[in-house]
Amino acid sequence: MAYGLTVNNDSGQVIIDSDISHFHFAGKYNSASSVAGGTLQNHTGNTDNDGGNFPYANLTSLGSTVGHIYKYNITQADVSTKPPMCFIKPTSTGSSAPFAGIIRMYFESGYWKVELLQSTQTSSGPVLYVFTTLDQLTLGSDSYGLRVMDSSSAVTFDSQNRPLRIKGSGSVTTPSLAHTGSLGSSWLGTLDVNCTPSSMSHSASSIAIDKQIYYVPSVAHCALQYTHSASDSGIHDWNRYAWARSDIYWAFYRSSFRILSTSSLQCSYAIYYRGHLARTAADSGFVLGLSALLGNIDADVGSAGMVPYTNSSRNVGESQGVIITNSDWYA
Amino acid sequence: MSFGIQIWDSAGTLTYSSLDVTWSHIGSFTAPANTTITFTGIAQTTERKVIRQMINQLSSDDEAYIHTYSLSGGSLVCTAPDTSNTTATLFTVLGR
Repeated sequence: MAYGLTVNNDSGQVIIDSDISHFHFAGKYNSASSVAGGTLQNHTGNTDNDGGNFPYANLTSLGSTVGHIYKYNITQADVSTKPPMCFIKPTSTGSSAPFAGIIRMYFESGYWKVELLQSTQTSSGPVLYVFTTLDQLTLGSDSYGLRVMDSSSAVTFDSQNRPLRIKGSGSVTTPSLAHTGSLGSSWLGTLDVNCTPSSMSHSASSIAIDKQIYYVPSVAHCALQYTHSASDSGIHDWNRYAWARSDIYWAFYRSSFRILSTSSLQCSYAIYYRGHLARTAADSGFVLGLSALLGNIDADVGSAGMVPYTNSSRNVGESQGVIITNSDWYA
Repeated sequence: MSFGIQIWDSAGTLTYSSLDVTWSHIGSFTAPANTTITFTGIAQTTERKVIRQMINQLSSDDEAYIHTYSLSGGSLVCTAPDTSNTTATLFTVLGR
């Protein structure tokens, strides 16, 4: 290079480079609001079949536990073109901790809106530690430290603005499905997350487990459904009966993460949407097929954005980079 | 430490240490939705790592694809797997 500053360690790894626009600390954010994940439950149809053997069980069950969505509003100078990097400080760690992942980020009304999905609700959501480039921040006025500029005199590194110090890293791939094994039996779907989390080891073990924060956005998702249909007719107590019932349960999952130990991070899923539709008939002239169920979903069901999902998955095979740092460095 | 760099602020707080820093931020690049694009001029270091994030995903587009990529030399090739259902993707490239 003809100008500027490059600092390498003895392994040849770049530590500071004036041509690189380093990320710096922009603040901590608590959630501005939160809401439960989407749930759709709907039963329509008759159930009185003159004493016949209509299957009443679980007409209003959901068969899964939905996650909780925490919403954050991030401010910075340019909200349209420079998304910030949001590290998650989880509400807890270890093998009983909920999984959490950032599932959506978009700019709106002067903010970067961030939505974080956590597999269970907690009284206070995770805290986001936000980093961005220096052109989005006010430079410090201290006379101590090190400031590095590029050839355009733009500041690319300033120790006063607490540069991002990445301590550990790795890559993780999401499990291929959120649930393995049976999805249900008879009239009850069981679509809670039931898979072996994938794990990643990293080198940030010198950071206390409750001080570790991680950056790895959720990109993988999958959907699973369980359906069951049956009908019967006959004579009960000298009366003719007939019934038909079709049910569909589904769950839509997003990948999410948790800190398992000081040296490992796990990836699994949390449920973002779930639902259960039941359609029934109890008369002698009606047989309800599953196609009829799917073809007669109420208009408000579709407008809620929670239509049943078919079995599918996307982005699950994609290896995601993970970086870890210490929340105490940005207290 | 016997080599590297450490920086303190005026209060004596360590704000930067080459003992801690294993990766530096090389650049961030946003691939538009449904579009394959190549970014060039990316700094080349001994090792690099890429982290992706969905950006500006619509609430009605929960089943979106994310761009796949290849990073070679100074070029980051971001490929949309689907021309109508691939979300905009933020690529964060780290190096060391």
